[in-house]
Amino acid sequence: MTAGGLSVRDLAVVYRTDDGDVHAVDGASFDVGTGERLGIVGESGSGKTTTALALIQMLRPPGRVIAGTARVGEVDLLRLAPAAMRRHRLQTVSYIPQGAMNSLNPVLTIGRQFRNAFADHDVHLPESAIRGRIGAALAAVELDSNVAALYPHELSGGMKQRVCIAIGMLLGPALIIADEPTSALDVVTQRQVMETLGRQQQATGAALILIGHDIGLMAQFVDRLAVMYAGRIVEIGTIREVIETPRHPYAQALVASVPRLARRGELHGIAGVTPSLRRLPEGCAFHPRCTRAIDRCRRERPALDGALGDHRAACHLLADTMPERAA
Amino acid sequence: MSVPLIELDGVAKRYGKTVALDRLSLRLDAGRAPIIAVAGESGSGKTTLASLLLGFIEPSEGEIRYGGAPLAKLGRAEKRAYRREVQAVFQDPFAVYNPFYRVDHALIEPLKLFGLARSTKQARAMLEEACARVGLHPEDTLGRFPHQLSGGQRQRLMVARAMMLKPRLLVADEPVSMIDASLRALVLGSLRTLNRELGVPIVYITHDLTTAYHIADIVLILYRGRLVEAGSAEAVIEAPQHPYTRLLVGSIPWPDLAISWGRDEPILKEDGRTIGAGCAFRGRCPQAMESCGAALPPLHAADRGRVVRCFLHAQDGAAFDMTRLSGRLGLAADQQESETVQ
Repeated sequence: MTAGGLSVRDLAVVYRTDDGDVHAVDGASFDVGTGERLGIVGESGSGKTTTALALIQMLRPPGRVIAGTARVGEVDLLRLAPAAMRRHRLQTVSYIPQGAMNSLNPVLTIGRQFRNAFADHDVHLPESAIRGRIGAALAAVELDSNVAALYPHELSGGMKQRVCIAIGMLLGPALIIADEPTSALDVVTQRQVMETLGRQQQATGAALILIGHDIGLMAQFVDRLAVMYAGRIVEIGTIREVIETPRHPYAQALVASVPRLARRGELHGIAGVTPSLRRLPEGCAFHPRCTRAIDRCRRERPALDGALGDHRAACHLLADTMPERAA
Repeated sequence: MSVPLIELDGVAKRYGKTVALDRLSLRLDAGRAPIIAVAGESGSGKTTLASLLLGFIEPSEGEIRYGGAPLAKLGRAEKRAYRREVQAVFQDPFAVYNPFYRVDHALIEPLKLFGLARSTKQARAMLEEACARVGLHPEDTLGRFPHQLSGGQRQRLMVARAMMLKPRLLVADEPVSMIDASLRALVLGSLRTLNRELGVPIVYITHDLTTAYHIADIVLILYRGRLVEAGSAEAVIEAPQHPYTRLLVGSIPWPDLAISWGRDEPILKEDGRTIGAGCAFRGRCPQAMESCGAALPPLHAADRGRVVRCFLHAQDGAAFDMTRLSGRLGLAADQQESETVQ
């Protein structure tokens, strides 16, 4: 069912507005292998959610994909016609949005919502088999089969989020995109939901993208991490590479801003404001906030380098300096 | 003995049969400026506590006293003073601003309302000084509309606003949960400035123990309306004792590959034993005993600077007098009282 994970090349998304084009995602390329977990972090407006929405063709106008490919096996998700995309959702790619629990239909029982997923994908099974699959899907996220008879309002936030994961996994998708799936939950429920998601993904070998801004959650969950800033991937590498030896100054500041157990009372924020995508600065978009910007940064946009193999960053400073270890 | 700034005396809040907060006693003496974090999951009662402190709701039982006088019986002038002296920073940095006015409006109005500035010029100077204190450049922030600022900037302006009113207590209810992780440190830094430089005690309501650990002096852990553990931030977070606190701390996703998530603390499925008397956590507790269902464990003084509501930590057998919690935690100036507990 799963075939080789996801391969995204040169993805570009533009929002056409009266004030001109807004390049929400500007040439993003990355791979997520079978059974692999890639995290994408960035501030609001960095393009991380737009990237996810582009992959499932759920961008709203005036947003539009203007370039790129996103292949899962033989299928290019960006080229599918709407009817075909509808069939591929859940079957090839599942999206678990932020506050997914609010996406459950309040007037249908949980069981009915599972049945709708089967019906929409022409899965016609005898009643006993349908019941068995719903029961198994609920059991896989540690919910009792009697949850199928309940309405969403009868469940807690964590339970609803686990129901959404169960529906997302129902047809064994090759790719799961989870967009801040636990941002409204407390830490214990968050851990429970993520452990459930991780177990399910491991069992099916799906490729997984986790979008968020919590570096701690990324450290505990993903294999590789991409850092986005103002529509571009500025750094990508294994989770260990990115959080232990970040190379891009923005990634370094982001990692340093996270509270750690060993450094009580130290607070490091990133001064300045995320630039508006309408008026991106010339050169590197981070240069107005960068403490080490040089002249070249104001003129020329750096590309992702390949100097350290798979640990890549887009920064002019890296051309002639060694990567600095984050303190 | 000095008059406490604010005192909760057996305060409970119930909605029908639902206990949102169960008999909490806490005292904060004047002249003390700790940052007190109140943490727990949704439904633990932490926002109920904030609403009670801010006078938005009234207790179903017990009494809140401000400057020694019951909150419910404050006269008009006293109530007005209380409204100025107890300030709040709320969760949503979008909802608190009127989108049609420049952000200055939200800062100048209270100065006018409470007669703190004699002239526009003076108000302006106060605004600029407060901005600078929270690390904002007045020229980058004042005169802008809310949508032109980031969530972090808007939230720091709210801290600046509170600062200008010279509060005696600040209640911050999830002030950073809706803003980007990279900007949280700046908002927390501004709260700490208010606390350290102006000596304003802060009640910091949060579900995020990592930030609580970094800025709070004292941490209170609530579970289903009851205080289950309280003590210094180091004690509670580095060596939690109540099984719920242990689960909570074990579930923090630290950004450290060497500290793996939930290594020692399994998440148990609730087994329905939480109805009726006894400890509300026993249905999820890996160490639940027969006695946990019989009666509510009292708060015990587990060690110096910490109290725990759990039979596992009741070695000394001496139940802890709830009214002495403040002294135990160093919240009260009256240290003698805390000594008598030993």
